[in-house]
Parts: sequence; structure tokens; C-alpha cells
Amino acid sequence: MEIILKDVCFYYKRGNIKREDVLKGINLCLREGGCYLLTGDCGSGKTTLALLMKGLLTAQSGSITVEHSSMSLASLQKSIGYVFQFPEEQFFKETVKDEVSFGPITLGLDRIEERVKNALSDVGLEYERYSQSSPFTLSSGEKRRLAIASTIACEPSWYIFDEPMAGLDLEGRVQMINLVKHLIREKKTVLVISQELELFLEISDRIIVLKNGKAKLDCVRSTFLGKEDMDGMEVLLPYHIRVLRILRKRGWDIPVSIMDPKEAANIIDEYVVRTERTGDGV
Amino acid sequence: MIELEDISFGYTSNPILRNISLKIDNNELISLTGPNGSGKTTLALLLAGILEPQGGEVVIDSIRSNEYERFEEKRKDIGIVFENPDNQFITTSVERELAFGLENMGVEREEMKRRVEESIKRFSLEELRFRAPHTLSGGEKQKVAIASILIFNPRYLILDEPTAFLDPCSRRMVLDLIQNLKGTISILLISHFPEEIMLGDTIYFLRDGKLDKQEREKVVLRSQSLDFLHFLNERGISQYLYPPEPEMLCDTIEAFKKKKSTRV
Repeated sequence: MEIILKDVCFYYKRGNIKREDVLKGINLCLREGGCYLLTGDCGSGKTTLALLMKGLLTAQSGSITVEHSSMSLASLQKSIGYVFQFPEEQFFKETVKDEVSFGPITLGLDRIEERVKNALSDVGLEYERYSQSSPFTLSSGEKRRLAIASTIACEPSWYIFDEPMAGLDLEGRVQMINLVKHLIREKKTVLVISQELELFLEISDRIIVLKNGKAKLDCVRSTFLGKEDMDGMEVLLPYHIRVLRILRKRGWDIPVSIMDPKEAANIIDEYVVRTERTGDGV
Repeated sequence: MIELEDISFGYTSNPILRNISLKIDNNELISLTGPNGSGKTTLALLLAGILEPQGGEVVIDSIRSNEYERFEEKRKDIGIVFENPDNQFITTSVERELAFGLENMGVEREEMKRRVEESIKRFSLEELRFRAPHTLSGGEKQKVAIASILIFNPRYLILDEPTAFLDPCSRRMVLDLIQNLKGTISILLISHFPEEIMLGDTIYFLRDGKLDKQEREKVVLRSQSLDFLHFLNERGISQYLYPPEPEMLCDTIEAFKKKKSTRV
């Protein structure tokens, strides 16, 4: 199955007045399976693009189609699990248990209690402690965990996580990464919207960078990391990779596509030792 | 100085904070971190006098929370900025946003204008002054939110996860702002980002209702950038405790390389 976006353009309106274009001709092909990382500055159109894919917004021009599947676009969009950037926007039930149960019950799924317990456990919310709490009394990080649990309880095939790390503590971040890894192993398709490449780059198969409403980059991870000219998008790269890239630009003959910070430090150290021996550092 | 003395608080019969004591000295920057739901925001709301403790007392510049009228007046010395600045914007332009609080406090018109101009200059908001706050980028919004609090000249500033929803550029913008404020005002910075937590003169961990203090130099926090710095520091290449701008780190690395090779 593939979702094809062709020349997709979108602008928000205030009344009937058009405001600035948010998406200016997006062309993408998303195949089933694996993890896509959608990144870019604030205001580059990431969330808008995801909302279009979910069918919560409609493009003013261009098309979104499903290919190699008997499923219609509307059915696919309906089945995409979407975790919003601001979780409180999606809560409306009185208890955590009811909130997580709502999706599976609506979809007519079975084993509701088991699903709720598993989903809460997957995001690190203890069932006994939280099931009867109101979603609105939770802390911001707990709300995010609940939003994720409500989505995974429905077991969709496609997931969109919009800035899933925002507000999560360090433990929650590790759990989130493990959750995405688990979903990928289960042959699900995950689109993560995030500016924290340091965390998601390692598990992403493809990276899409939006800039000023256009898909500025769309490539596999190795291509992304090895790209010489990032056109002002270096800031999105993990810190140690940015340092390696700057040193390389300054004439250091070192690799830059290094994911492990310890390896990056080793490379710098070895280069210093090498030039120390040859007296090539002045 | 602002102090929490043996504070306890719970939203239900089960207390979320138990016998917490915390002191923020003048112009000190304190970082606070801890798991989701551990009570960091609750602690901030207690410090700001927005919540009343069920046990213990809050003391601001020797005025205790049971001295109701004096404490209420003293509370104005504390400014609080929340993680989502959208929640605190209510006017239609940056300029009005800055003036709003002053106007409500009955500040004279001329004084109000003077302070707004001063704030616009201080935070380089000239190009944004007529923009609607909700149309700004994340970093710009947070900058306006912080400016609209600092316009009251508070002596204490509480920043509750001020970069949680920001992109790296915007986060850098806010971090630079915090670094510039450091030493000029007392700050409580709540964060999950190790690089931000390391900005604190003192770092506190809140977990299971208890607060633990750790000296900045002894704190072990994990992130790729801090790991990278740690490995460079171990090899004597750099000595940074938190990541500087990459260009600056590269200058340090090159200086180290030059020193090594000239020694040969």
C-alpha cells in the first residue's frame, strides 16, 4: 500500500480571506511499513501535512490517493492513529480508563479491558494508579502518555505522532523510542513529526524535511547524514554530527555520518593524534 | 530570597509533595527536573503563591504565606511563564500584550509606554511589535511571554518547561535569553532537557514527592550531546559542562589540535 501526495497545496483562511500558503506543492510517496521522520522548523507545515493525510483538512489543490490497495482513502484516513501535538485537545472522557476504551469500543474491537491495561502499560502509566483519574488532572507529560495509549489501544496499521517527545521525561522518551521500535517490528507504519532528530534519527528509515511549505529533502537516513549542503537545515542534526560537519568544512578529513557520540569523539581524538604525529596541525 | 518550608500538598488525599523545603537565593538559577507527574508544576504554582500549601509555608523575602495581605502584595515579585505560551496571550499585538498587565495594575500611561519601549528594545521585538502573538513562531512567542512577565520587574522568575514545544532554533533563542538573564534575577527553570538542566547553579530532582539537591558538577544526565562533551572532556579536548554553539566547540577542538601538533 502507498499513500501518494501530488502537488498538494494548502492555505488557512480567516473568514473568506486567504492567509499565507502553508504547503506549496508537496509530492510524497509513503509506503507501508517502517518509520518516517517528518521534520523542519516551526511553521514549516509539518502538522498541516499530517492533518491532510489524516483527512482532518482538505487540500485546496493537488491530490492524495491510495495505491496498491483495495482500501479507499477515506477508510485508510479513518484508520490512521493520530496523536496530536497538544494532547488535551483530544480528551473528553471523565476517566483515563474511559478515554483509552473509547476508541476500541467505537471500532467494535474485543478484549477492551486487556487492551486498556496493555496500552497504559506500554506508555508507563500504571493501570491501578491512573485508571480512575480524570485526564484533565494529569500533568502535561502524563497527558501525552495517555494520548499515545488511547491511540495504540486501537491497534491501527498507520500511526502519526506529532511531536511525541514534548513534555516527556527522560524515561518517557526511552519508552517512546521503544514503542516506535515495537510498532515497526509489528509491521506498522509510523510517521513521527519531530524536531528532535537526536532521538529519532537512529530508528527512522526515511527523513522528510519541510521548509517554507515544501519538501526540501526526502531521502533515506544514510543519504541525509552524508548530505554536504543542508541549506540551513544543519541545526536539525544531532549536535555531534554538526560538530563533525563543521570540522570537515574546516578541512578535517573525517567522516560525518556517525550516529554514536562516543565514536564521534574517538574520531576527533584519533585525528588529533594523527596530525600530532605528522605535525600537520598548524 | 524565596523559600518553601516543609511544604506538603496533594490534589487528593494522597499528597503529591511531602515535606518539601527549597530555597532560591537572590540571582540564583535553580533547575528542577523529575519524572512526569512528580509535581514539578505543582511546586512552581506553590512557589508563585497560586496554590496554597496544605502543610508548611512559603516565605518570600521574609514575608510568610500566613501574613495574607503582605504576602499577596509580595507575590507580585514572582513571574511565571508556562510551557505553552498560547495559554497566556490575550491581546491582538505584541505591544498590547506587553502593556496589558501593566494597565491592569494601574501603572501610569507614560510609565507604561516607557516600560513597553524599554522591553521591546531589551528583547529585540521591534519587528514583532504590531504582530498578533498567535501568529509568531514558537521561539518568538516564548520570548514575548517572558518579556511580558519581566516587564513587571519581578525579582523571581519561574519558567515551566519553556522550550517543551519549540524547534531547535527557537529553543536556542530561549536558552540564550535564559543565559542572558542568569545572574540578574532569581530563576527556577523546570525542564526535561539535560542541556537546559545543566544551566542551573543548583539542580534538584523531584521524585516520589521528595526533592533531592545535587551539585551541578556531580550531576549525571544523559543525552547524546552531553555524552559527546563528556567523551571530549575525558580526552582533555574540551572542558564544557553544557554544549556551547557547535562553532565555538570546533574552535576549542582546533585550538587543542594546534597546541598538540606544535608541541611535536
